[in-house]
Amino acid sequence: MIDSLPEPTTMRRWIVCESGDRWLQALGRFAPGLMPHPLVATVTPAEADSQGPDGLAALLAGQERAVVLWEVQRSHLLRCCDGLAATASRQPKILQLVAAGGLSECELIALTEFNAAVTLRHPEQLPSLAAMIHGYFANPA
Amino acid sequence: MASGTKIRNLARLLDASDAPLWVIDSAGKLVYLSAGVSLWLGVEADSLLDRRSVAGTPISDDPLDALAASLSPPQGFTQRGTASLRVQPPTIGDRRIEPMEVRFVRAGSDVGMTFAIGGSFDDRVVDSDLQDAVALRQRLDSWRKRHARLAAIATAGVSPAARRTRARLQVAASTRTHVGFFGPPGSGGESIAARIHQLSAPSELLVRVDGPLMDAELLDATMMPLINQLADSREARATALVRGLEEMPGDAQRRLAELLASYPERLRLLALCGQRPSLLQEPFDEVLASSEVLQLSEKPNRGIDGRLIEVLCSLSVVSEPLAARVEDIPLLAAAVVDARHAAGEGRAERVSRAALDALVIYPWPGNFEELDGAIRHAIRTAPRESIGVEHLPLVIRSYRVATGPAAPPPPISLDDAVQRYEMRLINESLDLSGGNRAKAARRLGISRARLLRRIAESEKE
Repeated sequence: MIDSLPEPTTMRRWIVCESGDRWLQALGRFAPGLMPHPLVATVTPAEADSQGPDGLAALLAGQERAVVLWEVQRSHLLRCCDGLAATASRQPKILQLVAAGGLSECELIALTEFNAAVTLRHPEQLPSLAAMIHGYFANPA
Repeated sequence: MASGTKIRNLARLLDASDAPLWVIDSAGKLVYLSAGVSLWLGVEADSLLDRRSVAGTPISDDPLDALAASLSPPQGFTQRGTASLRVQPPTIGDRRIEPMEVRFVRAGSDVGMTFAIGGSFDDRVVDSDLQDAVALRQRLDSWRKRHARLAAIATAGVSPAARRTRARLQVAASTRTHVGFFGPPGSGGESIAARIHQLSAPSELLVRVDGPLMDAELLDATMMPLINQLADSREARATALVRGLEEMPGDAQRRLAELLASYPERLRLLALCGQRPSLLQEPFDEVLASSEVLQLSEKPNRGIDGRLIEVLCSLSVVSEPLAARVEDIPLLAAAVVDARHAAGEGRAERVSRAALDALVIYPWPGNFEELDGAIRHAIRTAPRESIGVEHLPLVIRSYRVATGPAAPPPPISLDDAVQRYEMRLINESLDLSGGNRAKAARRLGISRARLLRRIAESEKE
């Protein structure tokens, strides 16, 4: 029996743009604990064909506060930069996180210029973002 | 195919090959031309032997001399020892010879012999890492140009506020120093700060920091690549662009101040702050330290650490709210439309007068960024060249200033007003008389009985 369904107005979207499901699984585990009461995280994978600027914009339509996590690998660094820039340009209040490994320091610095708020390397770093996520959602849009 | 270490084998291979190949001796004369050269040039190879093939040397009127000279390596080859050149031989009679890519290689020390091989060489492909770096740089440049365009529009205008802002920005762009940007949200401060960085220190690394979301550890993690660069080289310089500095938790602000103190002159701060600088009131970080119980209703304190205020004292740029720059609004709207039209967005080229009126009346709580968003919306909505009121977002086109007739004043009663005035005089007189009613009556020029009657009537009402 379902005790209670979440109130739709308290649901906040987390969108994961990645090639596998590593970060989707990690967010499924940690995102609920990162959200301030009474907000609820809904973690959604962006399908490969939705990871372009237009596809992501459709997923973010109507969302004033949402989180996008980009898994960045060297092989598709440029595509991620395009996605970060497009989202920052269209909806600058969307919080964008980057999960990256194997990038040079200059590339990491460049990612921050495209409005990546923070760069993660491993899923175990997610809980350390609690204050950041609380602060982000506590701030009215 | 014959193989061997004897020179005859090489001669047979060269003769069998159709690749144009020629050799120039140390004196600059052609000493060998393969059969492929004859096929390419359409002349007997023997006729070119011993002719000078040196770039830039005077030649006779003999077309074969001109042809031999055209086979020379480019200038600078002597120093480099190798060169690639697209060789275009001169026209012989009315016959045009096709150009060919040629690789020149020097054999032997000093001047030596020059081997020239014609063909198609695909060795100019750069490695993929370099290509990626170039592509990343192009994207960064494109992103910075976007900020530059927004900054130019946001600071345009003829109002005194716009002129003041531009004057400050001119100073900020001419020197590399810490800068504090003060203004209401949505003033385009981030684009302006990015532009200042490009103008004052274009080759310097820039890292953006989302101040309100940081704590000391996250700040370290975000700035780590930058700090590593500063630590690796004493020549390295870098800039941190911090958004929402006054909302940055106290521990993160203190850490930022420490980093600035650790790399004086080398680490620069461009800080986007609120409308006015205010000192951080401690304790502050305790709120976020207990973040597990932070509720949506909780508002963190705002303010800037004293050390950061000292840093930002060097230069500050203040942006006025858009509502205080009403005369700039038509200009800004037109500039946004022009920029979008030039970028190929929509068909709109201008804003109708009625739409401009609506834009001017609207109070713009979101300032320039709200205006930019509204025009973008209108461009997407407008089917033709002109943006009308109906194409503006609902919140703008439906905005109305309360201009109805003033509410009628409540009806007044003359008798009541006179009575209140009368009682006020009586009370004042009683106070002056120390409560003596006879004395008060005399002061008012009425009888004591009348005074008592008025007091009784007042108490009854």
